[in-house]
Amino acid sequence: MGIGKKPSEALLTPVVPCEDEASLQEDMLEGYTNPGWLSPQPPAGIVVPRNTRRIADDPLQLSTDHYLLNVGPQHPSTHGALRVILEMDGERIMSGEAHVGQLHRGIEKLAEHRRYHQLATLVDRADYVSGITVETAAALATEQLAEIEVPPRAQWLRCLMAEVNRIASHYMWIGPMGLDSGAMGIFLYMQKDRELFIDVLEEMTGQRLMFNYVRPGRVTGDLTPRAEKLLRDYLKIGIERMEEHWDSLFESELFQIRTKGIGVLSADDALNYGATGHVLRASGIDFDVRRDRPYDAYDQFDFDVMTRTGGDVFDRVTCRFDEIRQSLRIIEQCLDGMPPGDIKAKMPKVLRVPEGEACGIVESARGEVGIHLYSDGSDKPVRMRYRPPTLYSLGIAEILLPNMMFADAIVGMGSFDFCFGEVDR
Amino acid sequence: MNPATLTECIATALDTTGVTDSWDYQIDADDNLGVVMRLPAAQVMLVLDALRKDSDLQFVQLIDLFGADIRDLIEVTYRLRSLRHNVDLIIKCELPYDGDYQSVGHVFASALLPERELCEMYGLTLHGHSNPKRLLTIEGMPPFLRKSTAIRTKEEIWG
Amino acid sequence: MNVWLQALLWMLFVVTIMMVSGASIIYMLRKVLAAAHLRIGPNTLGPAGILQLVPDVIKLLTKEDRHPNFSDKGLYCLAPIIIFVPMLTAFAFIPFGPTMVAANVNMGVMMILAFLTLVPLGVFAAGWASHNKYALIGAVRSVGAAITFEIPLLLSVLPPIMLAGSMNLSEIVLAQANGFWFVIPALPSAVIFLICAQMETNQAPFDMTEAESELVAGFSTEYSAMRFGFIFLAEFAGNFVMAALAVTLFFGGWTLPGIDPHSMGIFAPMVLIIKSYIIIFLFMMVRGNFSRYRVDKMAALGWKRLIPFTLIWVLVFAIGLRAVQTLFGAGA
Repeated sequence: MGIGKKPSEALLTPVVPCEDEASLQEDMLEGYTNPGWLSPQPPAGIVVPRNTRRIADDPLQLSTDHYLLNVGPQHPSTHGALRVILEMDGERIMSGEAHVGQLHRGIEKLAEHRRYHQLATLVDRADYVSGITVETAAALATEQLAEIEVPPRAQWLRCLMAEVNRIASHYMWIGPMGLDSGAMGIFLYMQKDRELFIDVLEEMTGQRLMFNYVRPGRVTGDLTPRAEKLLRDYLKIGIERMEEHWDSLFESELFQIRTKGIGVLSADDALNYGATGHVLRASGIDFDVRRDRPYDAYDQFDFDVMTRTGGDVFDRVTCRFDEIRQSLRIIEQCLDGMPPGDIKAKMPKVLRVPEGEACGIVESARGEVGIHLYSDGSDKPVRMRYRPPTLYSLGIAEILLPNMMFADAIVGMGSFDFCFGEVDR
Repeated sequence: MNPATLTECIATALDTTGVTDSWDYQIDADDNLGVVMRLPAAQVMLVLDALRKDSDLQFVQLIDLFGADIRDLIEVTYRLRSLRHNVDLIIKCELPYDGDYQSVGHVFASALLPERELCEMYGLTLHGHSNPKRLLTIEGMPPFLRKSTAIRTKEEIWG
Repeated sequence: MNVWLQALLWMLFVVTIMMVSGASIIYMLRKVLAAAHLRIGPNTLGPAGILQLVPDVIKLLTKEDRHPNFSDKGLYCLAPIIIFVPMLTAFAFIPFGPTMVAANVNMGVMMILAFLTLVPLGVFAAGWASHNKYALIGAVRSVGAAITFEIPLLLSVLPPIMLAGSMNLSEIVLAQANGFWFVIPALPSAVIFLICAQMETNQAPFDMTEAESELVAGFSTEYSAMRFGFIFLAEFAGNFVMAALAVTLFFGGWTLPGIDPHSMGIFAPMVLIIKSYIIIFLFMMVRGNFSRYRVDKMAALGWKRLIPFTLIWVLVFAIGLRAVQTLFGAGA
């Protein structure tokens, strides 16, 4: 059966021995506690790489033979092409290691062969659930390089569509969170709401998933009356719908049992592991790119940044759920105060930007996306770096896995909202 | 915090820890990126640690880590963030092709996964890492993000 | 009538009831869950998609019957039968009318529960023989769940037995027809019985053995073709058995209050079936809307809440029943 065998060589990765490094680290890291570290001596019998993962505690010495469980990439609950190798003791996880790359398409390399206005098409394929926000990042970086002034109406339209897309993405995630915990109904209820936002996006951009909407200096479509009507109609019933979703999922005691106190991430760990977005805010750190580094027209909106203090799965989910309410507020302000004017800046057909570097950071639905562009003065970037927020969440998931029950691991990994188009690029 | 003040603060922080004695560093204020600091690769870990532990600056987050192929060197960029001052700092160092990369995962755990990607994509050797495997590709793939690696062969284009 | 012919006819009756109830519950599940989930459900084949099951069965019959490599072939083939046969047998003890009961034995309640207890054995065999870790985890979970929930299940059927003074299901039904439904004095038992029935039939929130978001398909991961069909059918047949047992024990069985039980005639089975389907509807609504328990929390629920509670409740009920009988005479 393969059960009871020793862990395979896959997990037996030794630390690279190097005396210089060891002495160097000892000197400079004396008295320095890194919350993500393991104890220097892992317990006998458990082989995990040092200092990336914690090992499950076993104070009663009740552990039995360990076995390896390969979860994914075709597992129903890994939300994409994630493969996790878990070392299990019965139902408990001793250690876990994520294997990614099944969806690697070399987007960063392909970007070096695309013109600047074509980058949006590429990054859409990276984060395929909230494309508008990452397109905005690419456009912002290009605009910084080329020093383009974006007309105010285009900026407001970007914010509007980004929020619409954010809500669609959040619904796409909170529903499957219910599915991960076993509640199927809420998934379809949220899909129904998401459908409306996707309809709006389709009305405005012509696409339902890969939008190609935000380009350097402009957006491709103006606000149509039908899109405005759809949004206004939802704003009337939106809060009521949200209450309904809240009651049916978060008020359910079974869901609370499954999520409260599971996968607790402390604020120190969240900072140390580079968490952004809802993972950071659920751990109690108040940072949102939209408020603290305002881009486009976000400095003109009135919205709150939602934080929680627990850092567990329930907090991560509810934190985002409240973000949907804030997004609805922003959408309402957008519709009310949309400035008139052009949606295009004056731009040459082929954009050649001066030599230099620029970085556009935005708050995507999953966290902070940064597009870093190197330019050599030609019409194509020399290097595009896409900062994937969920790649960093993956590192967090690896340290949270030990000591979890298998069922919790599914919910815990789901709570980071991995998008493997973006992790693998 | 404006770039000038930040530059002074960083200089003070590095002076008081005494790590600047034996080497040079260079701080510029870039229009697009904010403050950019260039270092020799060997000192990056010390500087990151000093900036992290500095009680005034508190660069507690490593937001991003990536490389870029600039002509004859690999440029590695670290993006640090201080939530206290709400400011980003970019640190750059340069490594030769096929060089050795020293992991900073002991200072910022967020570097652990991007470092693996960096080293496989630029053909660097990863040292001091707890799990120095490839991240995205399998063994035997060329270092994709180097300029010398073509994305299409002639056979792929012309058949 | 020849006793063998009679036995054969009863067997056909039981098999027909099982097949028909299994098929109708599958259709009902699809429609009820679809309505609960804002979906449409089957709607193409036949009126309101009622013939959807026919191509499903054809598909199951014609698919390749595959054994996983390195699986225990004998046990792998045997396991669906171990799951299916006890479910089929359990139907024989359910009274559908005054005389419509295939096996009218005095230990009817115990016999049904004893046969249902065999089902986790088949589930474990299926998981063990599949050579799949997910299947094995599901199998181990099913055994854990079985020993957790069968004790409160057995304890919760004691109050109706005490009230009727018999373990014969027909007599329990008649005792309710002459007096009152046993759900009235034994409401906590009825609630616990329904909770345990939900678990016994592997439905959410207690579907850890299958838990599709965790274990892919649990113990039946490696099964395909008609072997999977048997497991599938047994599951829905078990649904009906538990609902019919709940109706028989607590909700008056095939009788209706105020109607002479001997004048029900052909309506008796219909009454039982309609009542059972109301209970099944309740199961389905719970299944469609709630999150799944975690396996250790479920064990805690069983061992720390349900078992102590049912023990105390049975004790209190027995003392109370005795007191009432002493005070108001044995007829109460």
